[in-house]
Amino acid sequence: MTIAGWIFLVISWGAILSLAAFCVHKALKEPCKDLKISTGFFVA
Amino acid sequence: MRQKWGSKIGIILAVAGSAVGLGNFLRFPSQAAQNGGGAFMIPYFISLFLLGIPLMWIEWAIGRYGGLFGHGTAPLIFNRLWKNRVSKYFGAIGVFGPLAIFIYYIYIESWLLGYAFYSLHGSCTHLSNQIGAVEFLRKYQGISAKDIFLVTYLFFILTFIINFTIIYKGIKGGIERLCKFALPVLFVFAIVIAIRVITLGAPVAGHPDWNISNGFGFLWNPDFSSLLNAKIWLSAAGQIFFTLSVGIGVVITYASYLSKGDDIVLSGLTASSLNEFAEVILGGSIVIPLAFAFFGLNGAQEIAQSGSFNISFVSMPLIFSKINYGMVFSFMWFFLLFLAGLTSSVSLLEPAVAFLSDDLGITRKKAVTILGALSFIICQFPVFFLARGVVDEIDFWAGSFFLVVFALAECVLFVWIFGIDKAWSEMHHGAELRIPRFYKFIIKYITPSFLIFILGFWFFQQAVPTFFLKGVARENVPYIVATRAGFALLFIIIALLVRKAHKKHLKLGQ
Repeated sequence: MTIAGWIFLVISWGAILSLAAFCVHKALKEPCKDLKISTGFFVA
Repeated sequence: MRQKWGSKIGIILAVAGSAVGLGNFLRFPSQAAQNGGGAFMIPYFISLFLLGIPLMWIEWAIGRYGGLFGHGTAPLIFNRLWKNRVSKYFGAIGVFGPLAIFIYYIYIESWLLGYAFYSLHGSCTHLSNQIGAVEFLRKYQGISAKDIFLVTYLFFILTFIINFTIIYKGIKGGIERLCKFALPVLFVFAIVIAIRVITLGAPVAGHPDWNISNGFGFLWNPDFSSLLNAKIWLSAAGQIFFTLSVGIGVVITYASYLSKGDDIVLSGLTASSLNEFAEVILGGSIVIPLAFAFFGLNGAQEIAQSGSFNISFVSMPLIFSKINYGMVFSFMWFFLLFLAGLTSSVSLLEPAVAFLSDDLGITRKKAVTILGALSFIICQFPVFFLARGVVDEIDFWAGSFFLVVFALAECVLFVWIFGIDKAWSEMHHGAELRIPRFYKFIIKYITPSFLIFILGFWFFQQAVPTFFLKGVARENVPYIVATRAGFALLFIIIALLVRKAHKKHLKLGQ
């Protein structure tokens, strides 16, 4: 596999794993409306 | 009193279960390998953010909005969004489409259960070459011989009974309970197989370059020149569209069982990200790297181009027959695909059940019984006329073309007729996360434009030749015409029932 291939794999896997981990973590928690957390792209 | 989901994670797993299907493990890797490798991920992710996720939010919002009025399916929900006599008939596609897909999908799903059984039995993991694997599949389908077709039919009946038992038990006791079991098992099995694949090294003596690392390279090495090809962008958009199960009507029905305060922004995003995990990370780590490691570059190219059916039922049993404990891995592979199929097929049944019970006032148990009897009769067509091209015909119209038509209709109704400001506020009821404001522009302009582009391209490239039966063998034409007539009749019956349901609700003053 070329370096470019590795870069695409790592970025794609990283993006999906981060999004899935963030969403599952938040979904498993009880909703807390008063909490203000900046999450970069999405703002709670 | 309408049913409700038991928990937030229950609905997320149910929607993810509906989205995670055979396409995640079979269609995605072959599409990526054929369309520019790593470069395919650029249009793929752009399509995910401009088309897939916005449509997911739209469907969740439409479903929850309709559920508050006691509607669980698109026909009367569309009529709530747009008080026009035609709107409910666009919505009828959301009942007809999933039912039509279910008719053939359940038969393919039963093959997976059958192959899981034959994996442990050893019949499909002691194959020496591709000819043997193809012959076993043709025997299983009852095309080349009838000696094991009785077993095929028994697995079909078993799969049918499992599906209807789950639906009979309802949302919380049936679908939610199934998904809480099936999704984790599916992920564990896929992770175990992926780890086995990654640790294989170079399994064929004398071919050190046939290894897993080069297998991943075959899938991920980018070919940037492919980005100038419109076909690649369309393939990526099509893959995103199909993988998320949007445009079917299932998400609308599932979301109708939510309460007003439930967070649909986070739930929609979570279901989408779980689907992407199954597709890109797990789906991308099994089929293509394995094919490359055992058959080299030419073999992997042939397998990638051979289509999902061949990958699943011909190439994979052959590969597993060359691995230690292949019987066990083959069982895990087919059983995980069966679970992926099962969580999707029950979701395909739910809109019809919800329509009969919510809008026509039939009790759920009676609705399931009527639907079971009716669909069992219709299912016999794909079972006995598979070789006549019946499945391909239903798949094109119900499983591809109408999906895009329905998605465009719901997008235009919700965003343009119901209004973007009301739609935006509807999406954010109870939401912990705020959707970035630029998505308002994307949802209003980009997503429908994307859909019009896909629909226009397909209409000229595929729908016109398919409609005029181009490439269909002469002896199969009567079967294809009969299939079309049968499904046109089914749509007319559903449209008449929609009319009846609408009149009933008008009488009740709802």
